[in-house]
Amino acid sequence: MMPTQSGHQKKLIFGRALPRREILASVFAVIAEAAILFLVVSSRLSLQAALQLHVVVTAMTGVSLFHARGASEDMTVASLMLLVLLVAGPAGAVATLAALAFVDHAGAGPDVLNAWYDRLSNASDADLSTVLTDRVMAGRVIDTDAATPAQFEAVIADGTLAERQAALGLIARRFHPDFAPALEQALRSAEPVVRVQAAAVVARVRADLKTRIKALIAVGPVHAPADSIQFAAELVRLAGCSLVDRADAGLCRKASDAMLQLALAGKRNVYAAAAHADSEAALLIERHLMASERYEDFRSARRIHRLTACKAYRVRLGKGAQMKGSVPAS
Amino acid sequence: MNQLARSIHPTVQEADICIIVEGCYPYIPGGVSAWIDWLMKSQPGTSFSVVALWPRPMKIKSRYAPPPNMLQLDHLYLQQFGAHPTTWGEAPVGIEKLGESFTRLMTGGGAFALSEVMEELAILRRKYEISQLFNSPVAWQLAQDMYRREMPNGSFLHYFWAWRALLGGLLSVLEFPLPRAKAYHTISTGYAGLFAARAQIESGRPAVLTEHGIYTNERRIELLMADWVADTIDKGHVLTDPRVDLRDMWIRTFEAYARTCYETMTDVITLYSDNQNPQRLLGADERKLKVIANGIDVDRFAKIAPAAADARPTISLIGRVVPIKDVKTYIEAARILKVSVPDLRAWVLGPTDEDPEYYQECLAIVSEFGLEDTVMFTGSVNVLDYLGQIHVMVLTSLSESQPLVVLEAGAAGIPFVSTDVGSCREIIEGPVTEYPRLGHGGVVTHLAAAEEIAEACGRMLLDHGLRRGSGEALRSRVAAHYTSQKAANAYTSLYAKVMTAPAAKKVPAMGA
Repeated sequence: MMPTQSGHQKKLIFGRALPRREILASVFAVIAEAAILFLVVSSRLSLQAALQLHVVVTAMTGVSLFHARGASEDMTVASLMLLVLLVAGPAGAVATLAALAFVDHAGAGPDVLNAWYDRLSNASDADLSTVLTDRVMAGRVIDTDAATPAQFEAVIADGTLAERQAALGLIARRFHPDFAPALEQALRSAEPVVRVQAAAVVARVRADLKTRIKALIAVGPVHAPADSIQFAAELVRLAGCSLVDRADAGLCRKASDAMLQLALAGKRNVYAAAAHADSEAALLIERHLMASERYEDFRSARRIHRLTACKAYRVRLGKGAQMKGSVPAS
Repeated sequence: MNQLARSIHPTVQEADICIIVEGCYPYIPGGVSAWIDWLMKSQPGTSFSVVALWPRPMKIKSRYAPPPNMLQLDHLYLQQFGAHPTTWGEAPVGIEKLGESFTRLMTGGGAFALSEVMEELAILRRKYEISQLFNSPVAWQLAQDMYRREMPNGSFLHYFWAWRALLGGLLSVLEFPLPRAKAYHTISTGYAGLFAARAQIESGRPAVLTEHGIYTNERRIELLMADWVADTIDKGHVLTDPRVDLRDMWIRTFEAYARTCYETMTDVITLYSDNQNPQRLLGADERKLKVIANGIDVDRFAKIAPAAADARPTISLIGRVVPIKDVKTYIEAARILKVSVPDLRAWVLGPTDEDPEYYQECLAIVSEFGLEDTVMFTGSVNVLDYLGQIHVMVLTSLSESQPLVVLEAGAAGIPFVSTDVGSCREIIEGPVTEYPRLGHGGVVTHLAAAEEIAEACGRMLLDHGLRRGSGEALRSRVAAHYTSQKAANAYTSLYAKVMTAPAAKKVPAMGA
């Protein structure tokens, strides 16, 4: 999309603060110039002295406008004010005060423009609503009218060459162990181009999986049982993936067992984990409890998971410890 | 010669053949560089010049001494185009037309589109420096116009930088002084292919292409998997979304350049026939397609006696211990095979220092399987010392082009079990055109299929007749089709044809 002014930028521009320093300087100039005018009209001040006082008032206004201002600040309005005041005297002071009412909406200040440039150059992150607005305006959001994506295995079997290549690219970039069968099918394709690409994907995915496994194992047992269960579930999933080496699969299972052991150490942890678990994690918890011969905990975990999964209940542990805040109360 | 030819290199002596190569010769050893070195040495009566395309100047030493028949080596840098404009007044007349021509060349390609761009640039060049134009406000306008035509839904920021890279490369190729030659020989499509296409159009001399791998396909694979290419349009998992994003733009441009190259070449050569399908898909004329396989010096291997039937059963993988060779599948196959062949010996002959972590993982698997007495890593060795003890050669690679190791084993009469990569099937089973059929020189398996590999090796090890027969078939095939001399003769004939061909007519540009 070409650079345009988004809703976020508009908000910043129209929300700009009033130029307070300019208002105060302008009010001072109006009062001082009015006083000089009054003294001249009432013949208490000579014209020469009035002109000298006018220069002094202009200088003081200038000091109040420009003192301690950074070089990067926009001083267009202040400069114009001073010029008009110097030339037109009391009339200029009144005119500048009146003009300030319009200045506020005249355009974006340097801060706003800087923020805009930063965002355009990806130097800063825009808020989510701005990002979404931009994407909708540019036609970059997902096409909800498009046909349901075909299964990768079906595409690899029957798709056009371009579709098969695009599918393999997606598999490489967004790999999930469930995609492994499609990848293996591509490795056996009769089309050499597909086989070559599938082999490249396998090489990359194997390396990525190895890195992910290392990262998960390095995390080790974490304090929050729910996180540990999620990591353990992912490790088990990776251990079952045909693209993971036997040695790495063994490491995955070992690390997963250690995580589960710690995460499900006491009854309270079991209840907390079961209340947060999705179906995959729940199965993992139950398997672990069965293997550990903790049958009572197994039954409790299953009951809690079923209750929370149907979203009709919330589970409390002890005094006011709500385990699933988003679940509506029965 | 026409008005486009004003940038032809004025000082250099005309070579018979100008070789155009991207990203290897003479600085990266092995592979295509070694092939170019062999090619020039195999044609002592032909003079060569070389244009080496690189992204930017690099501080690395040449790995090949120039052969006596090489007259000149030029460097063309793709990412250094553009000069600061000294003065720039109004936008040149016809700049919109140039933008439209660029779009046609970068989205569809073809000789006509390229000649159109060259015509437009030739007109502009009379008044302006193209390198200054590329960094002027006019170029900014050009980028916006092309963006609206080519990628209107994607991110302009991302488009702009991709546009700079792609157009900078294109202009580098079109503005570089063209060396004089009787014919041009590019070793890939891409920018090298585009340079050869330009040379053909500009000089009227023939140009030929030898593709070792399929450049467009390699770029496509790279781009489809690349994380550095931002996805600026959310397509989810829909594969047929018509909106053009950055990834599509890059791929489309390289395909367009390949189309341009295929159309302008007089001969489009590959190392094996499987690689011709992607060329056909990108519009290469069937009549231009040829296969000239790489060859080896058969005599070096012919004297090696086959391993004795009563010697310890030995299989071997020759290659670097790196993931792309899939050595782990080889170890797994050895584990399976050891059940039926208990005294099996499985060598891995090749350097282990390229990816030490992977090598350590391989050792760990060997240890886990208890195969320390079976699977042995020798490191870098002279394979000639080992071939006489090997009963069956194995290749478990995930990717190859035309692996010389298959030819070398074949010349020594050792049967081969290989994954279905590159030209392995063609070498082991013979090309479909082979007559009389020489028989299978081994077994071709699926990729990453340890059980299949183990089963094939087992059959070869246990059935001496089958092993000897397969070894002889492979030896005969290598001697018949894959000798260095045969490959050199093919290029001698090709060069003789193109060097004496009459100059072609210039492709007319639109409106000319």
